[in-house]
Amino acid sequence: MSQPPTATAKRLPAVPSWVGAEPTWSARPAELSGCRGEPVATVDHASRLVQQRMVNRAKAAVPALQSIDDDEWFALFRRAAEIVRHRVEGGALTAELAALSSACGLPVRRAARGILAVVDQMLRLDDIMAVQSLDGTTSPYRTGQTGRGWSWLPAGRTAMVRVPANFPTIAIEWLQVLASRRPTLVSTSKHDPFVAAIFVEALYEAGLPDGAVSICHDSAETFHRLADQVIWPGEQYPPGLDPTKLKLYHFGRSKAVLPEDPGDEAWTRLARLAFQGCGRLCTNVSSIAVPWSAQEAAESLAAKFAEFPVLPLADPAANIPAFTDPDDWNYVAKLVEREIAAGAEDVTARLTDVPLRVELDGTRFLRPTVLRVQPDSPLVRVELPFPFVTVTEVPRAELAHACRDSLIVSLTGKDDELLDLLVAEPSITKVFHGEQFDRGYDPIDPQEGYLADFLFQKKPVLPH
Amino acid sequence: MNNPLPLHAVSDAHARAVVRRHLHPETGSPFWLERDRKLGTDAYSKVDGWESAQELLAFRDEADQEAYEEASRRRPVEDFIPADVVRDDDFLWAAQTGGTTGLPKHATWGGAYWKHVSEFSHYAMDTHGIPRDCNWLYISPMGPHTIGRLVLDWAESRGGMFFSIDLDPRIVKIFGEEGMTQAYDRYVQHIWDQVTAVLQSQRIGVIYGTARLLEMIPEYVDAKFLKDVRGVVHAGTTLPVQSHKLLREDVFPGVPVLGMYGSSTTSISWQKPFEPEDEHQLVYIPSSPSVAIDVVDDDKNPVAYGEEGRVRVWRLTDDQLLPGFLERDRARRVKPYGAAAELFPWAWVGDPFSPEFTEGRRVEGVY
Repeated sequence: MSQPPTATAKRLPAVPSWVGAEPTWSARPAELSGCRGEPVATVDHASRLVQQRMVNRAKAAVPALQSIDDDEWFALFRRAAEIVRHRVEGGALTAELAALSSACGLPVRRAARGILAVVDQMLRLDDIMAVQSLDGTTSPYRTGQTGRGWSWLPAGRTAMVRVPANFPTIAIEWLQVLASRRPTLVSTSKHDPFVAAIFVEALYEAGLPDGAVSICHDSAETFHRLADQVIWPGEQYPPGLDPTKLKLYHFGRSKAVLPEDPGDEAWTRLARLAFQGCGRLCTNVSSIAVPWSAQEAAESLAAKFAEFPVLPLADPAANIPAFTDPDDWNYVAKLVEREIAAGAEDVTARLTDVPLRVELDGTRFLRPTVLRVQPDSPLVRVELPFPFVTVTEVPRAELAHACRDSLIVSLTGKDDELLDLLVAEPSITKVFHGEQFDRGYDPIDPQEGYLADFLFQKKPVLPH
Repeated sequence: MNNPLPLHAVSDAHARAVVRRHLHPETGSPFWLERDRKLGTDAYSKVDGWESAQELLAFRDEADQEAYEEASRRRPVEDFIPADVVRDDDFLWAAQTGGTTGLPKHATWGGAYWKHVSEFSHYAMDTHGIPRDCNWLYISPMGPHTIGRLVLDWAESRGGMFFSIDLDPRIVKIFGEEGMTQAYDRYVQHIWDQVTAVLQSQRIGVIYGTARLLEMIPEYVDAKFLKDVRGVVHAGTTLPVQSHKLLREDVFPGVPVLGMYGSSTTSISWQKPFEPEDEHQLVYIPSSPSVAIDVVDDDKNPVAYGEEGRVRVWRLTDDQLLPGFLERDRARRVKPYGAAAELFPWAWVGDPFSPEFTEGRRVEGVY
């Protein structure tokens, strides 16, 4: 049962489920559509019984994962990373990358670079995991020993990670869960079954024990019920999920605070921060607050945005993501258009004359946009899935409050007083300032805390 | 192997008899007589066998079939039955379709047809090893749904008692369409709470459930409550191949697992005897000649064996005529093979599925 049973699978990438190390076709594969409505791949959907088998395999894998010594464990990830790099750079994944590009609306070259960024992070997974552990080494993940009156133990035998289709770099989340030696149940989003499958295949080739990771594409209700812990992206999660075993991750609304005009180089870096991951990352700056002229600030940023034209996804210079679902495209465009109708200024439109809605060869885009808005605009507190930044004028005394509920706040220049206020605001997760204001994402940094804080618990097991 | 059943390929005599009964100028079915007059077919005089019945009577196009469907929703069910069948002493079960695709359609299952289906059903269950003299737990739609009464009949006539947990696929569809995820989840839990209560307190030998529910069993029911189960029968949407394998090998090892494909329209097709060459694909034998099922292409021609197409149904019984109804389901056309090929030498149906249900998994979730 290792081949999809339809004829269409002959020409398109066929993405199986993975029951541990076993690529599996549960039944009739679903056809995945690209951003022009064209079929791009056939994808398996694991039935509930197959998902149960994945969970059982995961539980059975626990002893094997604990038995591998640390050097070999992380060498395994490095081998897998090199396998993926070799395949991406050698052209072996051309069909998958094309399908990923169209299904997720990502420029082909950016999607490939996103995968390679994960490869680079896998090469240093030992460092990424060590920084999260109790003693700064990787051994507590394996031994649970703390040298104190309690142990540091997994808070469950299995963990499910739901992986959104935003951008391939998000794969590092479930890779960290696996690297903590936790059997991992990956639930991919409907639009991107590819990236997880690429890495899982390489991991098993590199020697990962059977059952350590499984993949169910699209909905995975059985995982929701049976996984001991669930890691879910964004802030909205299925109502049936038990909140006591749930961690939400990578919701964004990252902002920047500019006490004064930061200068041309900083504007270039801010624009780059907005375009990282095609504007689909939680770390993209989505709103800028200034205590000076929002008009001037918006124009400076819009001038930089104008250097990124909307290009076909296959163009090597493309940076702008497309919208696969016409309803999503329409919904997001309307959010912006309503705000303009309510008095916001589309600064990009004034500078470029490019309309907000762009269609190229049947593919739908929204052009990168800088919008000058009032501080109470609802768009200040949302992130949209394309390069989009609001600029608003806020009195200096209110800047920290205006940045509440943010993942990252970037502070340009040197302003210790403002820095203290931002650091003291409990709903801001990270503050980057000075030379590192555009640090973006590095898995070394805590992000909504460390994953290990959720995955492990301090538990006295006495006597030892 | 002798065929102990009244099943055979549709013969000219059978087709001619059914057509003449439904289109008899004096006692025929009002709806089919009206259609015959409207189309100028004169099928009563011209149909002399199965081939001419197909040529003259099959639904002409989508509009023709839709006219029938709407009539079956709005007109009295007697309009589709020959008057002498309405008058005779045999019972007529008023069947409704599932109602998940609009207002339910009405039809009947007459006594003779019921007997035909029952004989085939007991044969299939005995052949597959579904035990007699034990109680059944039925987890499927009751109420207006024909399957509830059918299974009740089978359980009791096989010497067991019938415990049932009702399902309402129509409300599940509403939950799905209106995004009522919590209500859906609560409903599913409600089903399993009831199932567990019966399994805890009663001696259950056979479980009947929709394929989707059977897939959930290990998640919701403690294995210790299933240890006395000696037979499993499933229907509804098709059980995926891997799930079929896992159900047989992991969830109910050594217990016969028997699939049924059917609806009020398509009647009952039973899974062929399980053989290794099936590779756990589900292949069904239609209950010909009461019902003729074929798998056709866009031009309504049967696809080649092994190919996929749309399911088309002919109902050829005294109480109902259904001339080439195109179901929403798709399936693979299967050439008879294995031990049962000689007994049932007409086209079989492989792995049927409903495309719209595959997209909307909420409806498929329980049904």
